[in-house]
Formats: sequence, structure tokens, C-alpha cells
Amino acid sequence: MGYHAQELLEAVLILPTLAFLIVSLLIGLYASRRIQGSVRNYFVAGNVIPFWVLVFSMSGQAIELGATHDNANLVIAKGFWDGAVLPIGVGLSLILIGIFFAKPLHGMRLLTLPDYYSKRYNTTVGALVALISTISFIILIAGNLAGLGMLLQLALDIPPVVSIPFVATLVTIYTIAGGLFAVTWNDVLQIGVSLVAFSVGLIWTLFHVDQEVLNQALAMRFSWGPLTQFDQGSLRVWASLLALALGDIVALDFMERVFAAGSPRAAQSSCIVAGLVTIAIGIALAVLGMVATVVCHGEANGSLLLFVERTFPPGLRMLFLMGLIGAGLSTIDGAIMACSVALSRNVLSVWAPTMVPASRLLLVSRGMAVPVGVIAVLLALVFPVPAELLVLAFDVVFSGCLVPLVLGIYWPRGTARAAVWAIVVPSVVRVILHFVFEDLGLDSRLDGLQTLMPPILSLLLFVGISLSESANEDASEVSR
Amino acid sequence: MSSLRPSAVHKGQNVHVHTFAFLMFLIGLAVEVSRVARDTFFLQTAGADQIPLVYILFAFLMILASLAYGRAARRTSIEKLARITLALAACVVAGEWSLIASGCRSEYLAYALFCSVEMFFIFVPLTVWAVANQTFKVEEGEKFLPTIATFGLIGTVVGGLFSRIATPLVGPYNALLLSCVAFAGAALFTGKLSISARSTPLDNESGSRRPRSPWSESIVKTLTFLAFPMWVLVYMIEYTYFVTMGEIFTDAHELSAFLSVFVTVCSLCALLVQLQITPWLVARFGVGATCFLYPASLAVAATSTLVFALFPEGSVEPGVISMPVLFVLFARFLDMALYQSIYESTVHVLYYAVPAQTRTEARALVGGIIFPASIACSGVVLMLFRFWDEPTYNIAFTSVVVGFLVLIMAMDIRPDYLRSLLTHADPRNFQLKAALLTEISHLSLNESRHILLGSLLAEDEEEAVFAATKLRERFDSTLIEDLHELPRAVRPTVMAVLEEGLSVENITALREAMESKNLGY
Repeated sequence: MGYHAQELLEAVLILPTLAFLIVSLLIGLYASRRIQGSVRNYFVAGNVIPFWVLVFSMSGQAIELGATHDNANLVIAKGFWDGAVLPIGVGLSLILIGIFFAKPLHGMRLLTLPDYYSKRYNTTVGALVALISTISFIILIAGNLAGLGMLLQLALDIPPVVSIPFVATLVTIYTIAGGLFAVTWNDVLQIGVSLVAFSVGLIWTLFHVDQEVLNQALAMRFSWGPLTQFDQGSLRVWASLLALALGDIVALDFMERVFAAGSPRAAQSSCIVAGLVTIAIGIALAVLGMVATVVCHGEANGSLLLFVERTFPPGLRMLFLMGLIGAGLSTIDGAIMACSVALSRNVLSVWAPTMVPASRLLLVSRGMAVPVGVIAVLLALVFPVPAELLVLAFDVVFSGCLVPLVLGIYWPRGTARAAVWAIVVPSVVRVILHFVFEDLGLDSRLDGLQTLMPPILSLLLFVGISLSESANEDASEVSR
Repeated sequence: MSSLRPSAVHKGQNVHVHTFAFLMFLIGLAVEVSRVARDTFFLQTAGADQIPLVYILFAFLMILASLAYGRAARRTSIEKLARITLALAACVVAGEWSLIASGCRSEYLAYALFCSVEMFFIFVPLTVWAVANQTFKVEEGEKFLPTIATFGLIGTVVGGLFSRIATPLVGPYNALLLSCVAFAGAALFTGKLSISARSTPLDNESGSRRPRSPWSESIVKTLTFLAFPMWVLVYMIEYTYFVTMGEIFTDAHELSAFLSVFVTVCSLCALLVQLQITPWLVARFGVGATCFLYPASLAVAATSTLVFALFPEGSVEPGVISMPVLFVLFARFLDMALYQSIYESTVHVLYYAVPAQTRTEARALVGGIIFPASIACSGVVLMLFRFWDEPTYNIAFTSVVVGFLVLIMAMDIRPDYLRSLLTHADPRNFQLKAALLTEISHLSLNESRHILLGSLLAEDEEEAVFAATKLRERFDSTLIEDLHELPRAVRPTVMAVLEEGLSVENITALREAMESKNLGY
């Protein structure tokens, strides 16, 4: 994060931070009333979440520290598109889910996304998807916990070694207590605060910063080149955009909310609205990043937080910091929830059915939140800036899991064996490419190819194997 | 249950309806006039920084008053109690006015006036509504109580207007005299009421509903849980409003004139909402969803106070209603305009989902314990903020967080109302059954099924059977899946209802679902 300033927020921040955390816990505990021993209530909130709560909740999952804090800092360090691509990509994925996937998947009354793979192909495919997705989500939790640790150090001067386990414990407790009810209801609070904070922050900046500064910011940090000019690394930007826009279609947490919707229409429209909100907020943060580039020009460690400290009045500083904390919290709880239910339902109950009978699924799902939280905390403490790892983790999901989902819905000839190959091979290829890509000696402008190639491989494998299998089946039927 | 829309009055019912309407008008007027004078006197004499302390004192006195009121209610008729309360209000306000008129500007008097007026604001309407509940039959009550409530709101509008007109002529505090006269007049009119002739008062509705502990009624539990943070939030918003007004208006005349205009505008809007919007909302979305609007508006109001607090210090200038101040006024407006017009009128209907005795106990709990406790809590919290020297924006942010908590807790109102209706689904009580069917019709398939499935396992067999009947009416393949997910098997009588009219295939699937539970009754 670079910038280290104890005096960042002169105001006393103990009260707002504590109020935020305590009320989050209270909401989670209050939500536990609605579980009533039912797996469906815990996993997908009884399929009763209304449209407006879903909008908050999906935005809460999409607007995390990467799409806000890291976005603005990337704009400061590199340029508008390097940062803005994060929220735009995630927002687009929500819009795509809304247009193409929300209605058919909601109609299947699933409990987890891997359930779809289990129903469409077989339980092995479901378990594979659950495992890959869980790994990527644990890294996502760790990244957000590390970011929160840094923010809480600034706000309360508490070292991450204390604040990270504290926050993780609190979030895990309310997630275990109230399941998806607790998570979605908390999203209303957490992302509600974030939306107010970022909107007010942008409005304040636009009204208080000179037109000249805005013009300078545009000149310094905005250009269409990174999107259109191969020489300016457009392949990398498009690869990131596609990885997020298409890869996040397979996001466990988004899909959980699709399943939790009160109606297919609510699922669809909330995805689209949340996608637009995510893009709008992301662009707002990117604009703040652009302005910060001018304000902090010449600083060795210019960052969003330095800009906030320099320009915002004390009240707005407090609110902005709470907004960032809200963005982090809203993603952590949803990700813990998504991992624990996918692991228990699609991995443990498949591989160890005697250990996890249907009657104990709820108990085991709640229990799984603990190891997920512990691993994420350890990762956040040991390896606190896993940005590169996060990109790799979600690239792997994009590489392997997308094609079997999309073609599973829209192409009836896909087979289970094709799905397994289409998941495993591209995922492995993506991991290998991560380590060897730079050593291949390719032109640096081809950076991004390692993200785009594996999904194409997945598509070829899936279609090829499915067609060959169905051809074999046809042949055997004819011979019979 | 109730249409919430004022109805026409027919011959024969005239006397009672007119008397109650006039009574509520007088009470609305008296309360509003006295509140404007009280706020002005308190802010001028004690100052806005004393508000947290007066909240704590008021909460303490409220507990004592509730105990005394409860004891009096057990020993005397409600009609007599109403007369005594009104007469007491007239005497106390008259005494306080005479002290103010004699030039007393003591802080103690400011505290006494604040607490007494606030207590009369609570106890006087409470008692008169209790008389009305005992005077009208169920059908009459549903028809005429909204009309009577409307006259109460008209009284507040007239009270606000009167304060505005009277302040420049007689000074900011002499309007208290009108308040005394109105309270005394109301006490006299109460004597004209006779409730002995009535055989089926509103609180003893027909049917075989069994009274249960308030804590076993989901809607009561939700409304009680909700009341605490909601009142804390209301008083935190009120505090911001008073502090801001105290900074803007240093002159008592100006302050009183502004407060009366503001109150009039709020009351007028409340009246319009009560007459036009609330009935439409209830018909369109149901009582539970309509009630949710007030807590939701409080969250918006809290956010509005936060935006105000973000403006730099010095943005509030004496004598000027600047742009930042509009955010505070908007917050207070939402609270004042929607409380009576939406929350009070819908909560009144929500409580009818539970038996009369439970309802009375629940209201006593909220009014006697939760309400004072929450006021005391807001007082303590505000004092702690001052002690820690917290900036205004931190206080406002805490309000926002509490506002979101209130918003989220209020989301339980609708399903819990339905659950309570289901719990008391007595087929002989047609009104309750009609209310239940109306509320179910406002829910999506998933929402209604979620609640009905919970009722399948209810201890009360009638409730479970009713839920089974409604689920069977909307049978589809996913119902079997849902039954598979029930934590235990349903009782045989409920199973029989579910199986009625289903195909053999579906019956087999249903039985498999229940056998998988391996528990049964």
C-alpha cells in the first residue's frame, strides 16, 4: 500500500469503526432467527431475497477493495484503464449474468453453483469446480483481509496481526449464525455506507477541485490508447477485462445471490442494476485516482489515501475510510459463505457421504466457515499483498469453469467427460503459463495471452470431446 | 384488516364518532401548541446541550409514570382514567405557564416542562384510544378509527398554525394557555362518553384465539426488538435538529415561529399521506410492507443528518436556513410526517394479528419499558459522545449505522405479521382469515411458500393444516423438493391435507419425502 501515515485521519475513528463492526455483528445474529434449521434458508436465504436487497448485496460482492482502493491506486500508478478495468470487468460480468444466466439458473432452484455442474454433468465435475472456486475465493478473502488490516491500522493504530484475526472472527461468527440472510442483510449496511461515502467523495471533489486540476488529470491519466493501441498494451487490458467480465460469471458468490432471489425477474434485474452500480462506483474511484495523480504529483508514494488526507475535510475522510472498510467486509462475508457451503455440499458430502449426511449438512456447512476463515487469515498475515496471486486464481476459474457452464446451458450435447477435461487441462495450463510466460521470450505487448489462451483451449476440448463422444454413441446405437 | 381510509358516518353512530373526532382534534391541538412552546422554552432556557440529560430524566420519569398509570388503569375505568389524565394535563400545563408568565426562567422549569409535555403526548392519546377501542364494535372501529385519527392530525395542523399566529401577538409561551383550555375541554367532553352500553368492544373480538406470551408472537417480538433502535435513532435525529435550530434562532420569538411553521408543514403532509397515500399503499403492498416505509425513511433521515454533518464547521449561520440545514430539516420532516401517517396507523393494524390480551401486554412492554429504555439509551449515548468530545460527523455516522440496523430489522415485519396471522388462523374468525389471505396475495410464490413451510411444523395443528391447504393450492414439483428439506416430518393430519387431490405419483413422492425424515409423529 506504500503510504504510511498515522495522522491520516485526525479525527477519532474508534467510535465509527466500532459502531460499524458491532452493528454488523448484531445484524448477523439477528438474521439467525430466519434459519430455523433449514439448509435452504442457510444456503440461499429461503429464496426470498427481494430485488432491492439483492442490488445492495451483489454490488457489495462486486465492490471490494480491489475495485475501489486498488483501482484508484492503479490509476495513479499507470493510467485510467489499468485501474478502471477491474470494476468495469466485474460490473460487466454481473450484467452478463443478468442477461444470459440469472433466469435459467434461478429456475433450477440450486443451492450452490457447483450444484449446477453436478446436476448437468456429474458430482465429480461439481466437486472439481467447488475446489477450484474455493481456492480462488480464499485468496480473495485473504486479499481483502490484508487490505482491511492496513485500513484499521490507519484508523485505529491496531497492528494487522491483531485486527485481521479480529475482523475475520467477527465476520465468521455472524456468517455462521445467519447464513446468507446475515450476509445479504449486512451487505445493505456495508455497501450502503460505501455507496454514500464514494458518491459524496466524488461530488465533493468535483465541486472543490479547480477545473484546471481536472483538465490536468484527464491529460495525465486518460487516453483511449490502452484500449485501442496494441503498442500500448491493449492485449493485456482486454485480457483483464475479458477475464473479469467472463470469468466472474462463474463466481460462487454472485450465483448464490441469483439463487437466493425471490423471483427470476428479481434475480435478472438485480444483476443488471448491480452491474451498473459497480461500474459507476468503479469509475468514480478511478476519477478520484486521476485527480489524486495531479494532487499528489511528485510524491514518491502517491496513493488514494494520501489524496484523501490532503484534500478531504475530516468528516469526509472518516466516511471515506468507513466506505473502504464496508467494501472489504461486504466481500469477505460473502466469500466465506460461498466457500463453506460449496466445500460442504459439493466436496465433503460427495467424497465423504457418511461423514456429511443430509441431516448434518447444515452443521458441517457452518463448521466449514472456520477453516476457511483460518486459512484466509494465515494467508493474509503471511502473504499480505496477493494481488498477483488473486489474478492467477481467478484466471484459473476463467480458464476451466466458464465453458462447461455456458455450453452446459446453451448446448445440450456437452458430456461429463468433456467437462472434466475442459476444466482440468486449461487450469493446469494457466498455472504453468504463469510461471513460464516471461521465460518464453515473447514480445511484452503479448502480455495477456496467457489469460486468453486457456479458455479457448477449454472450448476446443469441451466441444471436441463432446462431439467425439456423441459420435461414438451414435455409432454404437447404429451398430446395435 | 382495516382499510385505513376514513369512512362516512351514518346516523346513529354520529354522537360517538363526532365526540371522539372532536376529542382527538382538541388533543392534537393541545399537544402541538404545548410542544412548540416547550421546545422554544427549553432551547432558550437550558440550551441544546442539555438535551441528552433531559432524555435520561424523561426516561426515568416515564418508568415511574408507567407504573402509576398501570396501577390506576387496574383500579379505575378507562373512561375515568382518560378524564383524570386530561384534567391533570390541563392543570400541570397551566401551572407551568403561570410560572413562565411570572418571569421564571429556571432550568428546572425547562426540564419539568419538557418531561411533562412529552409524557402527556404519550399518555393522553393512549388513554383516549383505549376508550375508543372499548366504545366501538370491531366493524365500527375499523370504519371510524381512521376518521378519528384524521381529526387528531387536523388538530396538530391547527395547533401549529395557531402557534405561528399567536407568537408575534402574545409571545412564544402564552400559547400554552390555549393548550390548557384544549386539555380541559377534552376532559369535559370525555364525560359525555358512555361505553357501558356496548356489549362487544373492539378488544374482545370474536373467535377462539388463545392469548400467548408476547415473546411467543413473532410480530410482537419483531416490533418490540425494532422499537429500541428505532426510538434511539429518532431521538438522535431530534437532537441534531434541536441543536441546529438552537444555533440558527437565538431569539425566542423567531425560534417559536419557525418551529410552529415547521410542525404545521409536517402535520399537513402527514395528513395528506394519511388520507391519500397510506390507504393506497396498504391496498397495493399490504400492511407489513407499508409499515416498513417508516423505518426505511429513518435510515434515509440518518443519512441526511450525516450529509449535514459533513459540511465544515461554521456552515450554520444564525438566522439563515442555509443549504446544509435543509438536510437536517429533511431528516426531521421524514420522522414527523411519516410516524403518525404511516407507522402508527399500520402498527395499530399489525397488532390485531394477535389476541387482545397479548396485544395489551405487548403495548405495555413497548410503552412502559422499551420506549423509556431507548430514550435513556439515546441520552446516555449522546452524553458519552459529548464526554469523549466526538465530532458531529461521528455521531451522525453512528446514527446512519443504527438507521441501517433499523431498516434491516424492519424487513421482518411482513413475514412475521403473516406468521402471527397464521398462528391464529381460526377458520371462524373471518376478519383474520381475510387479512391473512390478503397479505399472502401480496407476497411472491417463494416468499409465501417460505413462510407456509415453516408453519407446516407448527405446534398448533390448525395453523399447520391451514398452511398445508394454502401450499396445496399452489402445488408444483418444487414443493416436493422443499418438503424434502424440512428438518422433520409433518404430522399425519397435515399430510392428509397435502395429499388431497394430488396424483398418485405426487402422493408417492410426498410420502418418500416424509419417510426420508425418519422421525414422524
